[in-house]
Amino acid sequence: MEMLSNLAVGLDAAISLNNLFYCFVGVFLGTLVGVLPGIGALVTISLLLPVTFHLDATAALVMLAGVYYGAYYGGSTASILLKLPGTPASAVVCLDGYPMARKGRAGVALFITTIASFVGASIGIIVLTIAGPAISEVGLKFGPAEYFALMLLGLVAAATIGQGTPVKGIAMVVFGLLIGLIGTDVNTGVARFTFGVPELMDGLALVAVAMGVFGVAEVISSIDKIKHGEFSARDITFRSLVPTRQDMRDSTAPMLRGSAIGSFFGALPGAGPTISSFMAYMVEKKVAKDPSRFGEGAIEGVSAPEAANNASVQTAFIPTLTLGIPGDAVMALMLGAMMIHGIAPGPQLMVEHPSLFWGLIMSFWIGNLMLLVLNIPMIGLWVRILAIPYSVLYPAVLLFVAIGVFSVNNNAFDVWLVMVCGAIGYLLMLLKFQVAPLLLGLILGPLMEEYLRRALTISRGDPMVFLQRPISATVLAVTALLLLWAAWSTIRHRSGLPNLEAGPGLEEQVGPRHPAP
Amino acid sequence: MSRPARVAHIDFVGGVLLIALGLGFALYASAQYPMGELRRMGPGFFPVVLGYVLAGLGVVLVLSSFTGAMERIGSFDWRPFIAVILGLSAFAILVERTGMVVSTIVLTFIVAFGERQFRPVRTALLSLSLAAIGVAIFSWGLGLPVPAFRWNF
Repeated sequence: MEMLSNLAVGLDAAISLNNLFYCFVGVFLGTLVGVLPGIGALVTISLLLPVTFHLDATAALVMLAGVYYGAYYGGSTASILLKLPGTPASAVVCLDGYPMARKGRAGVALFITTIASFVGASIGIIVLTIAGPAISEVGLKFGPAEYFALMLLGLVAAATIGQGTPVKGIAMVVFGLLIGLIGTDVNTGVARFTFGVPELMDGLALVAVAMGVFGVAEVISSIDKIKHGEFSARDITFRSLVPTRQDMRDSTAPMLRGSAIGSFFGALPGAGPTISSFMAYMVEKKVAKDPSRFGEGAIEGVSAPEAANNASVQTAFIPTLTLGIPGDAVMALMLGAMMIHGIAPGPQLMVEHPSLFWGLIMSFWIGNLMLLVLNIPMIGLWVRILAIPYSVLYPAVLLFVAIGVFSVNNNAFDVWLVMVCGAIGYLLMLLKFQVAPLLLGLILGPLMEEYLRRALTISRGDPMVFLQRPISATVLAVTALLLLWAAWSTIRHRSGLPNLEAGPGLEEQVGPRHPAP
Repeated sequence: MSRPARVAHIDFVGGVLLIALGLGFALYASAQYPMGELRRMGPGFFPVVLGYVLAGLGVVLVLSSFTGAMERIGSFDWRPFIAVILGLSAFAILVERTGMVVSTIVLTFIVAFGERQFRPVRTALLSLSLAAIGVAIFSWGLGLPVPAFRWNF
């Protein structure tokens, strides 16, 4: 069995002491930032990117991935206790988790979300393990034309399906592609858009842009807005966690449905955990015998979305690891981390770096087991951490941004760059532009240009090559349909999906926060 | 909620910004870098095309802002904005000249003014502990070439 030997290779890599340690660091930090509203996986991963320069590639990716899926375990804690989502995807957990807490069932809700997270993640990992090699095999047959088309589809999907007005999402992708071109052009050696600044010759530092547009901009817009309420940590005793047999029975099918929904949407570029958890909630409401219980503390309203978002963060790795096409900004950062270590993303990853590929997948199992321990016996710790006021947190975040970005090149120029990116990010936020597509464009920009050039060189300058090859033609047709849909919905001046974006504006959507009684 | 306001629509402003940015990139690139041909693309090709696409999207956004309900730009929070920008700038200036401790304390105090309520004691304690953590992790742990103290103007 080839699969078994692959998994053995992976397990071997994942249980090395070094990787176990960084896996733990990742999931621990992930839970921490997931619990804390106002700091998310994206900011944390951007913060940790400089640290990964000091690690080997496997340890670096294991840690960053741990932050990502760990955050979705922690994300529901604040939703349940404070009606303040720790991550955008857990916003929907507020709807029934908070009423459960008001009825004195906070412990049960916290327990069920952890179990649901684990079930969802497990199913997601299984899907990833089975689908990954198959897709990667297909990917090996692709040429530059197919890759260019796929990247275009990925970018358009991420920009249009996500949040906000599609045309603004696409504009951010294009803006990202443009600033991705800053620096020396690899083909001709011409320095583009550097305006004589030597620090720009190597291009904009990904770390600085990511920290600026996410971290700094987020802090500016959260100061004086995030207020932590009072609740008694003593209410969350170990005994209060235990669900009734009825709770477990009511949660089993929703967890499985949620996992299926999450596994599917996670693998699609642009969809991701937030859309998955909202979909799962809507499905549960549809299939429920008594939909009126939703919003009043229905346990399905907690378990299904949690299973969905954790399944989707695992399957989100499928396009990233097998084709090198990231579906969201976090995945784009993972891709960036790979490239920092000189690993070319794409279908050859599995062949050339089997211990990295399978080691990463096996580390997901280990990480999720660690999360189970971190989130059930140690739940009291996270509940107490919620009491840390934002006014203590944000100066620490800004300091780590400043030192972290400085440490990449030991150059104060990058601190200036992060400051400028923060200001730009805040302006874009005010104008309701999503910054995540910008980061995707920034990372994919140079790659896309390279594939476009190669495809056209092979075809001797004939642009029809993209339409003559069946796969690239199909992908481009799907892209065109998406663009048409985007144009249509822009003319109607509303997006196809409700605006799910979290951040400071989210309180308006889930209603004002009430301190728990 | 939508009332006729004299303030510009959020997407009008955003669209105009995109047009300016797109044209800026496209015109600069076409003036500075050779376009080449499809078979051998020059360094100007991709940026020029993308620049015009960005400007085109800006036009769409401006046009769409005339339909639908009025949506105004959210309030610009000057206080946190300036505090964060100044704090990071101060760090950029100071870190190589004064070392970790002074630059950390200055950054913490400046950004603390971003909040409406300034708490001197809490900020002082926070800045000292952050300086200690910064020195321990970055100067000693990761071996960053920035000592705790330095005077280098």
